[in-house]
Amino acid sequence: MIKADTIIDFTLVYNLFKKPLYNYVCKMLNDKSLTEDITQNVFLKFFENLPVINNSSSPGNWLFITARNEVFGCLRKKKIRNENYMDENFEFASDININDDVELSEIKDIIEKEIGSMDEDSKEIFVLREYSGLSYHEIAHILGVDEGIVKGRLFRTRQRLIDKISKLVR
Amino acid sequence: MNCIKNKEMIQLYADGELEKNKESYIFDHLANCEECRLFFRALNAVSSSLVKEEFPPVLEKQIFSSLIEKERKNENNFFKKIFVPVFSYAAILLFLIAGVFIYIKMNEYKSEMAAVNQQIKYQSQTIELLYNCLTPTIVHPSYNREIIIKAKM
Repeated sequence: MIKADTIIDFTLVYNLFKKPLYNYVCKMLNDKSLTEDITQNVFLKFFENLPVINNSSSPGNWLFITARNEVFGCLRKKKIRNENYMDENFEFASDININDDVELSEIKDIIEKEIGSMDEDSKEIFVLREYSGLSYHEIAHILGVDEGIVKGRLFRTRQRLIDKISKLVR
Repeated sequence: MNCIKNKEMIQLYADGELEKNKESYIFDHLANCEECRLFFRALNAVSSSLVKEEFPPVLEKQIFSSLIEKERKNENNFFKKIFVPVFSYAAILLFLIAGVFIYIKMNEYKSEMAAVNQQIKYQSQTIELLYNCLTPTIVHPSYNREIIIKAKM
């Protein structure tokens, strides 16, 4: 029998982190079915290791670090698979024409494409902050870097996005 | 005017990471600086234009059903984990007890056998002695020659 305490502990953490975690994996991989697999895996692993995790670090950090390992495993595999035809496919985002009367949905498109073309480091920090709503401290802990680095990279990424949409916001 | 430092502070404010005592400074600055106001507006525009994915209910169902399944398997494993060793220990213990029991019994039989042996030896010695004590018998057959039969062992 599953203990009631375990279920309560799991469900509390699950409800708190399911959406941030799902969004993080989804934005990093851009693949819904892969995202579902990874999210499920991570939560199952979390359930198995619940007694250990509760005693050590915060469960949120554990979830994100575990998901991150899986995400980067996938990205590595994808890279090897795509290496041959990557050059032709990867330049879609750089030359977008911005008209003065673009709608909000077009801003969305621009930003999504821009995020898609970012390098993984900048993208990851941006996704963890904007889509998962984590604090600088949490992001720094998950990535194993200094908070200052998180702040700096995030600022540069946002600056880049703002430059892309600056004509529309004015 | 180029206010990178102020923009960084505006980012911190937007992320809820700015210390409270610096807030009034940044508000003042925003009121006076067109460029930073624009930056702040753009920052908000970026944030609000992001589309967050909803967590699929199907996935939720999947996660919980596989949790239950896993737990069921674990229960079976639990039985295996507990009962197999218990049974094997019990079997080993039984064999040990049986071995000791048989050893003790064997020893008992051994000493019994030795006693019986001793007795038989003693009896056969007695019989020999009795035999040897018998007086020789003289038999007179029809021929004129007597045959003496003497018991000897």
